[in-house]
Amino acid sequence: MTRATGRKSLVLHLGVVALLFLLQFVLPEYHHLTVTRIMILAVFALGYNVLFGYTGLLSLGHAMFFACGLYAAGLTVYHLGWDVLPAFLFAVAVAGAAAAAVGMIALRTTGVAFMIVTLMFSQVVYLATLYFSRYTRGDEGLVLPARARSFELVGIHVNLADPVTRYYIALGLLAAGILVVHRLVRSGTGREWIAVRENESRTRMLGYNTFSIKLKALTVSGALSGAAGAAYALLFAYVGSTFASIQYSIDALLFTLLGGAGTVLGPVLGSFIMFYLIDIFSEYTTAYLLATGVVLILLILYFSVGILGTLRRKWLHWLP
Amino acid sequence: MSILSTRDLSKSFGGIAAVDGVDFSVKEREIRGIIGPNGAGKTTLVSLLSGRIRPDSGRIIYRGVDITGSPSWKRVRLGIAYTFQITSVYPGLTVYENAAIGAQMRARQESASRWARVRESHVEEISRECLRLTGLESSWHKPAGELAYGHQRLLEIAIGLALDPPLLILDEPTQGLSESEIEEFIRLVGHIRVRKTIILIEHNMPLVMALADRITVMDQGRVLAEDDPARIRQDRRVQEAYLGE
Repeated sequence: MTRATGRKSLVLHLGVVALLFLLQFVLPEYHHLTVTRIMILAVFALGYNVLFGYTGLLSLGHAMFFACGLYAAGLTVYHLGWDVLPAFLFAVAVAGAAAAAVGMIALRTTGVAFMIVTLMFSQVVYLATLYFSRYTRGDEGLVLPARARSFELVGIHVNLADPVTRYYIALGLLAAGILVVHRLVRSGTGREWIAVRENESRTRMLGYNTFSIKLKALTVSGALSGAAGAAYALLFAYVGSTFASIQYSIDALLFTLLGGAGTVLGPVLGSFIMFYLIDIFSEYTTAYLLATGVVLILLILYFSVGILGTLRRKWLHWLP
Repeated sequence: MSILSTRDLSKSFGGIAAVDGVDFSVKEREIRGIIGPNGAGKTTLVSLLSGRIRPDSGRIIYRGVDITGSPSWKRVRLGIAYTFQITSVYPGLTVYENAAIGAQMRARQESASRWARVRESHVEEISRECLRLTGLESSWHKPAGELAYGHQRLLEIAIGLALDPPLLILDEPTQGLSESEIEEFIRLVGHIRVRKTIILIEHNMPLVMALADRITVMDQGRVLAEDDPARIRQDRRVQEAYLGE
């Protein structure tokens, strides 16, 4: 990719961030909160996309990394009285480490076996959150205490109960996520990930240790997912087992597929569309999971490259 | 001085010895042809050399180091590159990106330390040079999957060349190429042979005879004969086993 298209792409990604910044001024209250949630989930999808979209590994267990971040942040704040910032950083590290540990085992498999092994590990995490209900209170979950609703950062008092503050934090995290992924996928690391996705055996025969490339992708992916989980817990002051369930793993896959796997902004776009689709659908019926299923089937059958994948194929060849 | 050698190398598949006690040695900057009828064990031998499969017994020595147990990617980093018999490029990526994946590995190896940043301009320089050598310069922005078959074969070699390996194993590089593309290939080998050792597995007899310094003839997993092209042509056993005269 040349320098000119690189600048073009950076401008586009910064433009999207700017657009999301401006969006808050026109959104009614309900949608203001919804968009805050979506931006956090979009970070989760960004992380998922690193593994699935760029490295070509389909995980069915990413809810475990989201949950790792969620619980690592939530439990340290609730039980150990940690401050918000250290809890967040700790949670990202825990999720990254969990991803690396799971990867050491799961990455020995490929294809369908990889899907099943990740699903299995994820179920272990889900069941663990129920089993240790003494600490987690399982499905019912924990509401974080009032002292964890604010923190001081370089002398500034940050109030997490304030919707505007929450919006900015979610936006900041998403912007950071977009820029990190954008930079990574256009670097040598991204080239290695894509090489593994496109032809792993050839890549190995060019001197690359493909196992460690995949492990790196999974670790980055897990850490981003964990950052989303931790932010979700700390912004909305709640942790519960639902977030570790398979539905969240499927959501990440769905957001990524819909927006366009292997494009930086695809998962972000997919998160917005899919979230609102389910939101609208659930006004009419309680069977909103049906929407998830139908969209998933349609995507896989007819639209496997997603919205941005199609745009890239047709017009925007430079899109990273 | 031998760059690569094997000692008593064997590999069986389901009781059939594909490679059977092979002692094989290639000198620096030599072009070694490996010929033999179908099923003679040529591809199994080079798969063992490149580390794609593990031997049942025997040793492989590269520049004095025993590499029998090394994974394939480590052997590539040591300097043994392998181009596939069945074209194995990255069909979804552009021709340039294909070469750049090889070039990035070389740039990384040439950089001062393991953690030093690889400069993209260096990767670009290497990629362009390899595409120029193989005559693919003008299609650099095309998806590799859209190239004609012969050009994909050349790209396969370009990716291997991007590594700048001391030892290049070419597994039937001219299979399915047209006359003019074969000429292009001969020109390419002529250009790179000054600095490299090449192991060439080929069915095209005139081509091997013209390019190779020495030829190893394999039959039923064993080395039947090994000599310079003129003598091989006259060897009676070779004629019986392979040339069928």
